[in-house]
Amino acid sequence: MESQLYSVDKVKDLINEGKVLALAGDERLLSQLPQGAWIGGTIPYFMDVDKGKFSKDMIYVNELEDAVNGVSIITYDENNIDYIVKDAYDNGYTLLIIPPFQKIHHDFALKAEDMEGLYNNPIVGWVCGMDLNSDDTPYTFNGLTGEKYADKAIAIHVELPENKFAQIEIFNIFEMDDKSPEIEFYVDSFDVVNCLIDGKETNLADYISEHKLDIKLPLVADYSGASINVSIKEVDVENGMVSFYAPVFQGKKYKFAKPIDDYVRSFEVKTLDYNSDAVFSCNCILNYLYGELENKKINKIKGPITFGEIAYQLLNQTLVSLSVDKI
Amino acid sequence: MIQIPSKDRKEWRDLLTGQINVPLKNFFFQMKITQAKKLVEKGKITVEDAVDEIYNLCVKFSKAKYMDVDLQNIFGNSTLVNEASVRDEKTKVQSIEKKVLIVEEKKLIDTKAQEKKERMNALRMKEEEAKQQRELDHKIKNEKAEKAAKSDKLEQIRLEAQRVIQQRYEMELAKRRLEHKPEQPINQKSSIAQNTVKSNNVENIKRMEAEKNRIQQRKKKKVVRQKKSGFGSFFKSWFN
Repeated sequence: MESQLYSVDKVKDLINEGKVLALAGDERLLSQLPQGAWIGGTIPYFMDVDKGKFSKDMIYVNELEDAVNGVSIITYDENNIDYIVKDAYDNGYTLLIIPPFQKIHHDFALKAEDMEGLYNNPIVGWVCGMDLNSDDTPYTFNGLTGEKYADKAIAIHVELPENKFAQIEIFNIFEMDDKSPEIEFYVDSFDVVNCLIDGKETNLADYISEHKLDIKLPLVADYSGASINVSIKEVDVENGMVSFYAPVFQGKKYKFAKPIDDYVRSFEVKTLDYNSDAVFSCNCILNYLYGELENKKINKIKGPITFGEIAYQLLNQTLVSLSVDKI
Repeated sequence: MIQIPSKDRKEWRDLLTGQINVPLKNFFFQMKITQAKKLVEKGKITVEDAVDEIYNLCVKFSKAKYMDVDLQNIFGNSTLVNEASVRDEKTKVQSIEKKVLIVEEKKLIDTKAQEKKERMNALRMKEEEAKQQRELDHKIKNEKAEKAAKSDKLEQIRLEAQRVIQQRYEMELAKRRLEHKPEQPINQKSSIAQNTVKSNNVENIKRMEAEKNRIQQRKKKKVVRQKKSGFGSFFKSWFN
C-alpha cells in the first residue's frame, strides 16, 4: 500500500482490517480513530505523493507491511526511555514519535548517543508538531490503548523475518562551510552561552550577532563522513544565549553550514537516490518552510513534515528514510 | 553475501584510534564508528570490545547500502569483500553522479535559456523603443517640413497681400492727386479705411490721426500676438 494521505474513513477501514500503521495528522482526526495496531503523532504538514501539502482533513499513512512476525507498541517517558533499545526485537526496527520541547524530547536527544546497543537495530522517527498558526498542542497517540500524550513518546517495535533487515538513510543538503571557524562546546546542551571559536572562548550569541550570520543555516558536525545538523532556534543577544532544536555535544567540532543558493534544487540533487518505496520517511519543518516546499514536488520524497527527525538520535533539517531489504 | 574482514585485521583498531580516518558512506557505519571512537577515547569501552561489537554489526548489516564500498575503502582491494558488489555500488555511484551532472546540466541549460530569453526580451524592447523613436523623429520631421511649406506659402500670401495693398495705396494717392486732395501719411491698413473717408474737414483729419494711432497700437498688439500665437494667427488677425 502506498504511503500517502488518506481520508479518515479509509484509515478507519485499514485499522479495522488489522493493518499495522504509523500515522500523522491533525489531533481532531487521530482522535476519531478506532483502537488497533497503530501509533500516531500530530502534524498538518506533509510531502504527499504529488506535492507538499498543508492538511487538517487527511491522515498520512505508512503501512508497516513487514510487521508480520511481531509488533509491540510501548509508551516512553523520561523514566523508561533508556529501555527503548532493550525493548526492540533482535532483528527489526523501531519507529518512535516524540512530543516537542518536553522532558522526554530533551532526555532522548541527550542520552541516545550513549545508549548501549543503540545501533543494533535502526531507530527512526520524528518529533510531532502542530499548525504553526495555531495554539494547538502536539500529541502522540497510542492506537492500542486509544490514549494520547502531550509529554510522552510512543514507539512501535517491529520484528522482521530472518531474510530481511532494515536500514536508515539520511539526506542532508547542508555541509560544513570551509570558511567557517571551528566551534567546540563545553557541555552537551540545547542552550549555549560560551563556546570555543577557533580555540578562543567566545559568547556565541555575540559572535552570531556581530558577524550577522544567517541563522537559517545550521551548525554541522562530521560523524565519520555523515554531516549532522544542529539548527538554531533562537539567538538571545540580550541574555547572551543561543538555543538549538537539538543538542550540541562536547567533544564534537562544529562549523556553520555553507549557504544554499537554491533550496529546492539542492534537495533535487541530494535526493536523486531516494527510495520511494521506503517503509517510512520524514522531512524537517525548517526545510519545508525555508525551502517553501508547499505545493512543490521534489523527486519522490514523501512523508510527514516534522519538528525534529530521529535517525538513531535527534537530527535537524534532515530528510530521514527507513527501508527494509532482503538479506 | 559479502565477507567481512577478520576481526584480527589491524585496520579495525586503526579505525577506532583515528589512525585510519576515511569518510564513510553507510549511515549506520558512520554513526557507530563515531560513537565507538568517543567511548574508546573516554575509556568507557576497550578497543577490543569495540571491534567485536562493530564486527558483529557489520556482519548483520553486510548487505546495507555502501557497506562493501566502505569496507573496501578501509581494508583495500585485498579484502574478501565481494568485488562484483563493489563494482555494482561503484556503477550505482557513477549513475547517481551522472544524474547529478544531468540535473546540473539541465540547470545550466535552463539558466542559459532563461538568460537568452531575457536578452531577447531586452533586445526586443530596445528595438521597439528605437522603432518608436524613429517614428517620432519621422513625424517631427514631417511636421517641420509641413510647417516650413506652410510658412513659405503664408509668406508668399503675405507678400502678395502687401503688394495688393501697396498697389491700392498708390492708386488712392494717384486718385487724390487727381482730385487735388491733400496727401495724408497713412500706413497700408489705414489707407483701406481712408478709402471710405470722404470728408476733408479738420474733424475728419483728427479722426484719421486718432485712427492712425489706433492702427499703430493694433499693429503693436499684433506683433505681440504673433509672437504668442504663431504666424498663422498673426496672418489671420492681420487681415481682420
